[in-house]
Amino acid sequence: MGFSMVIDLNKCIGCQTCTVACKRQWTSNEGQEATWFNHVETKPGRGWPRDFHDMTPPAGVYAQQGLKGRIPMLAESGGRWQFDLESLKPGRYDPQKPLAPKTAEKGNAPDWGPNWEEDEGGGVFPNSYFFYLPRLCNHCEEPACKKACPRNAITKRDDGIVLVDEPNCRGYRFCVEACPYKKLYFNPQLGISQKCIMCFPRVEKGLPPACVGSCAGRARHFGLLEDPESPTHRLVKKFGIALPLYAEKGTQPNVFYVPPFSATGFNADGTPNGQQRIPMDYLKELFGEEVEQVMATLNAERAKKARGEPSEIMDELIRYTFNEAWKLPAEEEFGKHV
Amino acid sequence: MTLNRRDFLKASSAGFVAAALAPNGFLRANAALAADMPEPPQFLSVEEIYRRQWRWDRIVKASHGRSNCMSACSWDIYVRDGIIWREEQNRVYESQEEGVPDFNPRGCQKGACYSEQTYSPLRVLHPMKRVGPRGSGRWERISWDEAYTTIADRIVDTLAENKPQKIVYDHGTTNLDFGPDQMWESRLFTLLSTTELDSWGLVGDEMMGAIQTLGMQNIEGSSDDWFHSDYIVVWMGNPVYSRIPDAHFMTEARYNGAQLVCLSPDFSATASKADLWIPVEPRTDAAVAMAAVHVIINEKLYKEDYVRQYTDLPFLIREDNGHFLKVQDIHPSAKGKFRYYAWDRKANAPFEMPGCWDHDAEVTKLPDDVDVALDGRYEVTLADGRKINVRTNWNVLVERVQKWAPEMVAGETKVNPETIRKFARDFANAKSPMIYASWGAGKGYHCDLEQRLKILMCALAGSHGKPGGGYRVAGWYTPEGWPVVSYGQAETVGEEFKGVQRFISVLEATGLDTNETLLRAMMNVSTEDPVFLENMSQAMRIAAVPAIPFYYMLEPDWQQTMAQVEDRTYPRRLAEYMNEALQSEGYKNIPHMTHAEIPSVFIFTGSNPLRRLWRHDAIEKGLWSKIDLVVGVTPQLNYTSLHADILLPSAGWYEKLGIKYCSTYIPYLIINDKAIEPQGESKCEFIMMGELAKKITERAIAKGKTEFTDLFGRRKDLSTLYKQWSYNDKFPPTDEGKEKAYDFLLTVSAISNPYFMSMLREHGLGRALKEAFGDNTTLAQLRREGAVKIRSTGKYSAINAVGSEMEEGKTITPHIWFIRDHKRYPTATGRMQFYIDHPWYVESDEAHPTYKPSPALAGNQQQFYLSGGHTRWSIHSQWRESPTMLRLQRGEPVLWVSVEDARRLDIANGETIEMYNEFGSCQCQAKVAAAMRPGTVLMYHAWQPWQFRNGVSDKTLYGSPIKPLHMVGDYAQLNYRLAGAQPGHAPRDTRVSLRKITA
Repeated sequence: MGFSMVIDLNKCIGCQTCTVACKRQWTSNEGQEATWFNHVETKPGRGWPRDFHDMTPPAGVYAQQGLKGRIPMLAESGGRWQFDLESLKPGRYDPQKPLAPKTAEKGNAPDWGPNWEEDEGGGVFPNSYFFYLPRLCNHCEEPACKKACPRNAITKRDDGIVLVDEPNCRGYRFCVEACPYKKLYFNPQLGISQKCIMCFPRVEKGLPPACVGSCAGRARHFGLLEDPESPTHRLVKKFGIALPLYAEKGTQPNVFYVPPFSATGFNADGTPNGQQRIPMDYLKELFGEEVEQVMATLNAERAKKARGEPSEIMDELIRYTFNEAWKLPAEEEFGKHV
Repeated sequence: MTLNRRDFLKASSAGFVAAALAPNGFLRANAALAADMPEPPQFLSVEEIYRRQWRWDRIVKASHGRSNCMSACSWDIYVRDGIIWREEQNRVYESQEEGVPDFNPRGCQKGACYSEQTYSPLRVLHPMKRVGPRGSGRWERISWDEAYTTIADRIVDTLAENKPQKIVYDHGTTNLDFGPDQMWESRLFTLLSTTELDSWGLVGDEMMGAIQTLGMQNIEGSSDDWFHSDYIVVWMGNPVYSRIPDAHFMTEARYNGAQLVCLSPDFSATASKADLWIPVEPRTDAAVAMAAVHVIINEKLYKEDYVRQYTDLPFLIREDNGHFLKVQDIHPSAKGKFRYYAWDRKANAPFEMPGCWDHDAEVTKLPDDVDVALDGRYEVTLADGRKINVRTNWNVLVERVQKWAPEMVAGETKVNPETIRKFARDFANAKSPMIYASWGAGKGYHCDLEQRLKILMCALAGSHGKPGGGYRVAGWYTPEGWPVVSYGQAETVGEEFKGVQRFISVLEATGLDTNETLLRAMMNVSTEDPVFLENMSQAMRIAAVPAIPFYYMLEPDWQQTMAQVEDRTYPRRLAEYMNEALQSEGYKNIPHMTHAEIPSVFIFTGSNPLRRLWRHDAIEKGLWSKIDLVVGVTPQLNYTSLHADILLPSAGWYEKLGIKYCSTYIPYLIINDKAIEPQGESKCEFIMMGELAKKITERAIAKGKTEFTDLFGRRKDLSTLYKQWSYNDKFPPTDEGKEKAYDFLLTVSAISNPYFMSMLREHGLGRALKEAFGDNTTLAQLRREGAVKIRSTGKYSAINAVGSEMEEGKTITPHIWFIRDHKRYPTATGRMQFYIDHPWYVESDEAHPTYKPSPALAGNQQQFYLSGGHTRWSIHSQWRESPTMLRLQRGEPVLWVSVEDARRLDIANGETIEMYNEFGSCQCQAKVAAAMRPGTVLMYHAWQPWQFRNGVSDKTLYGSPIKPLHMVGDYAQLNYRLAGAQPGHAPRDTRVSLRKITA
């Protein structure tokens, strides 16, 4: 029990303002070029790191057969991209040498990165489809990273925030291996692992996490999952319209997603077929069987609005007042609610 | 917290020993504390390490004033130890209407990392002089004095030849911050009467179809107004990329029950949010629109009363010559040629429609005792006694659209007829259908035809001027003080602008120049009539020149290119049209165009003209190489700076006081305050231009060349230039002078002080001074709040075409004046005009909007349509070299290729490819996407040439000739004015082929 986030995939526009707000706040130092506590990927796709989903077995298998995950290879993460802006400076410009990224690790041109598959999508034209999936540490109820750390250097605070105790970390990277979402990052400069801190220094002062407060699509909701006044409680518990990603990994994430609508597909003759173009099976892969019921609820509620009837669920998702997208304990009361 | 040695030992013994030994913990703590840590290393908990990163000395309210991004936003700038660490949206906007979402948190990923550019290696930190050949990037640092002297000498010498047109000032498109920097920069060049390049058309932002139909191109209210729509059509735009802070009103409208429809060739990011995406073959959108019009008319889904009231469709067209029946046809002595008739069924006679361009009435409302026929064919008697047949415009249109059944366009558009029918019916039956078209809609050769048809659809559905309805292209709430300072001259603009005594007294009282004619005219115009204001804008004698004809006239290579790819379906050749146009009444009023010469001095500020120009390779070798002195004013090196002779470093955002220009989307005045001192030797433009004005004055006197005659025949005196620039030193080029200038702007502009103007007008100076001051938005208030709601939408101008007042508790819906209040549109017919009876239009079958196939101007023989669009990742070429932004893309330019085409050509995702046509080739990375349409490739906007694998940009591949009809300069709304009707850029009509590059 603790802080939770709901990300509405109908409102996420893939702009990465969350990504950059987080980056500029926490991970702009040397050694962190490829550290993205938060990033947004386009689905369907192989994701970032590439095929990260396949790097850890489902939790059941983990328990029974002692299988564990693995660390992403350089080719799978794409490495730390460097740009030689100095080469354009007065006196150094060489028109024969275009400005292009090189990896810090090997000096080669990168061939993967956190948004490599931006807006490519799946399906066969004109039945193409895609949507955005923002990903950050899920601050899981059963954090695989915490279990995997031999130094007990990963803690879950009383408010649910999962933290790497950086001074105690030795950079063994068992946590990186274990995390099914690959949301821990090794910092070669410091020799430690780092991850999303759910902006606790801001949250403690009554401010929303940077990714929530800066979300230009107004897609994020934040608060304590069990607090009835929290928007996340309403969306997850009361309305039941937000689901975790890859629940089968068994870590019980505290980040939930409102699944996406999509435009009607076309029959072979080019007439609209009335079916959403994102295949339901694909949504089930990500969000489980329950997604079908959630989509039905969302469609029914939206139809109510179209008929001019009220809908509490749609109003919650529209979020007329942005500053109500989060509900935090007051600064002086921080810790009492959790 | 500072630990002493004793605390440290205690801490160590309490279990921190491990941390003490950990090199990483040590470094981390040290890095976090580097600034405020005089003591030896301390060992913190992870929580303390991060908490210490959330400590700031100051938070300053700022924005990115001149970055030319349409979605204005206010930011909190976090400063510690004199360094900007980060920025975050200032979430202060309130909902305008009960039940409509608020505007928070405005700002995108680019704004969120501008501070990275503050400290970029690409910053220009000192004045520089080029020492190698142009383009070599070899520079030498010089002093400000040397830079000013070099520029001033060249300017003085050129003016002494009485050739002010040889000094060319290019500030990009509307690259304005609306604050003192832009105002006083433009002021300097206006005082020198130099050529000011108007690049609206050059960048393809020119909405010629909207100008033809509505007399204006920027038609928008606040973006929360979209929430009122129940049927939003995104057609030629991609707001998910280009309107990041506003796009949520579309997704929220969807949750509110609206349908979102997107028409585009590829499955765009906006299409991913749509309920219906209609994949259209590139450049055939007008055919889809024609078919939709066919359906709406034939199934009688149109709103007849609306069409009769607000459009020219009841107007009478002569069968004998295809022109409107003019009042002069029947009464030859009547004054004014733009006066027309409809048919009154009650009187059974022609009825002169009120509100036409030359009509006395400023409103179009029809008298109750008149029954205007929408349809019909009638006989009228001309002045010479001849009887001729006339038909209503509607009657002709209905006949024309009959051949455009959805089945007829299915082949060309590749859209199933049933899909078009469904779209047309749902659109016309919706309560408040809206078409979002914005600036992607201006970048095709026949884009005007598309726009006219989309506006026609909105008119038929009766939705334009309704909350959430109608045709939308973003505009601005312009502060009146800005044109006053920028373009105010010491000459009269004409006899028609009289009665200015009260305002002159105010000017005297405030110590300002009493000859500020524009200010006088503006403040005393008792009308908001757009026709009057458009005429005034013409009379202002701003030395602006539309950029495309400018380059066409001066660059033979462009003329050749255009002759090579021009559209041969018109009756005459482009060169003939150009000659005819330049000799027409309209263009004769623009002496800087008719007398254009190879520039002696070319000054670009806040822009990157060579990146922007298509076939810039030809321009660099041709016109550019003949310019004596190229001066770049820029905060950061860009491609064009490589080809400059002198670089003047301007301060970046957060380093100077300014105003983010006021986009209509967000009815707030947003400050761009100074958080830190300018980097290096850079200066804000206000100070720079004042110092340059001083130097020009000084050098003119020293050389004895203080007088010249400008192209309007005005004698100008350079010995008083600085005095004029600074209003007799009232606004000296210092930080204090700039703050005073800022105050002046806030005082005289309706968006910050609506009372001043109305009090002055109604009650005279005494009461205006007493009561209209002190209640205006102030600099102190802006500094405190960052964004303050505008007080009024401001006066009508070419780029402020909101056409509505603000109403308490309501979103701002555009064009309320023209619909609810029946004010006339600044068009020949005073209404939404769907028939242009100019001879060029009539003879080329474009009097009515229609579909014409793309002439596929460049690369006619090639395999792929080259599509494009504004990108998510940059504002033009700004942010293009940002490492943070690049790491979230592929780090370099990509060309989008469909899966099918990639398979056929054996191109792998990520492979290097070459795109080419007869004009050149450029090399980049292939991005293979299921979302891409087969047969089309796409490159998003504004990579610098130096980012391409072969150093050559896609801009070299565009032929983009002038559409001859866009040169009409003598027809009511089709008459060049600053930011008004002018030829546009047509990159979307280019074709290319691809080949693999084998390593």
